Amino acid sequence: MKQLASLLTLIPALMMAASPAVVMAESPADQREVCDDDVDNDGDGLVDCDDIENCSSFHTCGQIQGGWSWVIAVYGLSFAGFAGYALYITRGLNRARKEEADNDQAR
Amino acid sequence: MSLLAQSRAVFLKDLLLAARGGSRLSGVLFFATMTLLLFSFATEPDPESMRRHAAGYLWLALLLSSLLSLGESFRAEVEDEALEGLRLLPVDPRALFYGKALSNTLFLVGLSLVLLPLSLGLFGAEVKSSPGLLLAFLLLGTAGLAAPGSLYAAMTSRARGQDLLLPLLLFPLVVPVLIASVKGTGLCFSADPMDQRGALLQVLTVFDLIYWSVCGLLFGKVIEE
Amino acid sequence: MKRAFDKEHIIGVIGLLMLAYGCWKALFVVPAMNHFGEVGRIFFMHVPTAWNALLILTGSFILAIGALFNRKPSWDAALTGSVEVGVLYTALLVVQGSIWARPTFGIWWTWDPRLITAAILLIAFAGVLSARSFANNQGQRLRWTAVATIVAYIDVPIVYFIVKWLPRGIHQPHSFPSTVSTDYHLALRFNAIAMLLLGIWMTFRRARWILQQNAATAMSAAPGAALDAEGRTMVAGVEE
Repeated sequence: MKQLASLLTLIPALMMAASPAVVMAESPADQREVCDDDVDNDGDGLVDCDDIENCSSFHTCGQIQGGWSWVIAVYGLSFAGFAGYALYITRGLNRARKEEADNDQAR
Repeated sequence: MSLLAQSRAVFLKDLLLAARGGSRLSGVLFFATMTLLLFSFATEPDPESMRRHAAGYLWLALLLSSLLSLGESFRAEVEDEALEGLRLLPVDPRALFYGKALSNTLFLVGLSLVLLPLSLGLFGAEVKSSPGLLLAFLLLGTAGLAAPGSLYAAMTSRARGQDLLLPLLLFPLVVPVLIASVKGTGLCFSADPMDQRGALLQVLTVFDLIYWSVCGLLFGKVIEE
Repeated sequence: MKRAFDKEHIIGVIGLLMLAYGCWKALFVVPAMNHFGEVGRIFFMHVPTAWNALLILTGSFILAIGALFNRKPSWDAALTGSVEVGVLYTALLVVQGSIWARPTFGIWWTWDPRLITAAILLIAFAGVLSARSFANNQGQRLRWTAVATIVAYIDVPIVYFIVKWLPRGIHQPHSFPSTVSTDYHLALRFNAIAMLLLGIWMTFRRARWILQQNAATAMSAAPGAALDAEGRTMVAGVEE
């Protein structure tokens, strides 16, 4: 079980180790449109926010849609993370204390 | 004996062991070659993309084989309880570390010198910089793998699940070395329009300095029993 | 047997109250931001998480150095607790950042110094915790955790520097207006301090659990285990 858990941690580690190697070797020059520098980086004749295809989702090119659902996702996940961990350690501690009490009684 | 002389003694001991037991060398060499070949099978047979990825594949093959060689370099110490013997001697633990790390670096540099022509041939890349510069990247990069690698190989050498623990601890650490080495080696395989190679060498040197000193200091703590 | 009230609960309760106040400000009081709209509210959770993840892992680094010198089981417990809490915060940070990036930048993940650094941080310290579970005895566990924490912590600024120095990332200079309201600062600071307090509370609780487990192991290993002056089981096996 322990081995399996460690193995699972290893997979992202491998991916992380591999991705810079591939990314770095691959992209000598970044030719994506950069949406806020007044330059036509990708050479399609459209500059910054006019390049709707590449910049429509960039934050200064218009109001972002569906805001609240993302906010709720982030706050919900964060609270769930805190609560889950707090529950985990509280239960663990209580279990360990109960064991100790049982041992005391047994003696 | 001074720290330097002690390190040298450990280093020479390792060289002698490696020279006598050739199986370790040839096994890792075979593994590394096989990895390179597998990379070439696993990617699209497009000469242009293979050439651009050559540096990345070379360093990934080196990283994966360094796991084997690092683990192997401490296996001998553990099997015959030789590490216990070394610890009983009045030797500075730092000397043990520097000797080990140096022999591991040397082994990896040797391996990279074998893999280099292979990857040049397999992926169709060519060296466009001075060989000295390329050698500097190989040397500094492998030194960056060997220092934390030796520390963690020593730490995990007597543990259950060593083969799992070593990459688990080592891979996240060597990301900066890997990035800088791949980028630098890649720039040696192509033109260097933005003149980044000097700065990359500096990054690698700083990383090596930090890790060779920190790991040397910590080594004594990990080989305690 | 009635157990005495653990004092760290005070910290936890203050943290919870502050978090409730900060989140109320962030979600309902602060106006929506110009470009980001409502999504900008993620900022008040994300930024404090990032600050605290780094702060708590810095704490772990200091604890690790201390633990290597004094070899006290209590330091080992605190170290492990803080690394675990740091990993929790970093994991939350990565997930929050990913969710934040989707509507604002149109992607979940990219080559960016802070993203990569956070991910490496997460994996490196998760590796530390994983390695810990493989140690053979308590002394070894302490040394492994401490050494791996120190080495992993040193790696973080290097990763950040090198990724920042290479290609361009998505964390552009902030485009927030300079005249922001006091509510804005209140929300940010309350959340930041609240998360720090909650992190300290969780570290304490986790450390208590580890010490309790250590005591139980020591007792089952030696049924007549020695008791110290306060009647607690002494923890064996730290210095072999």
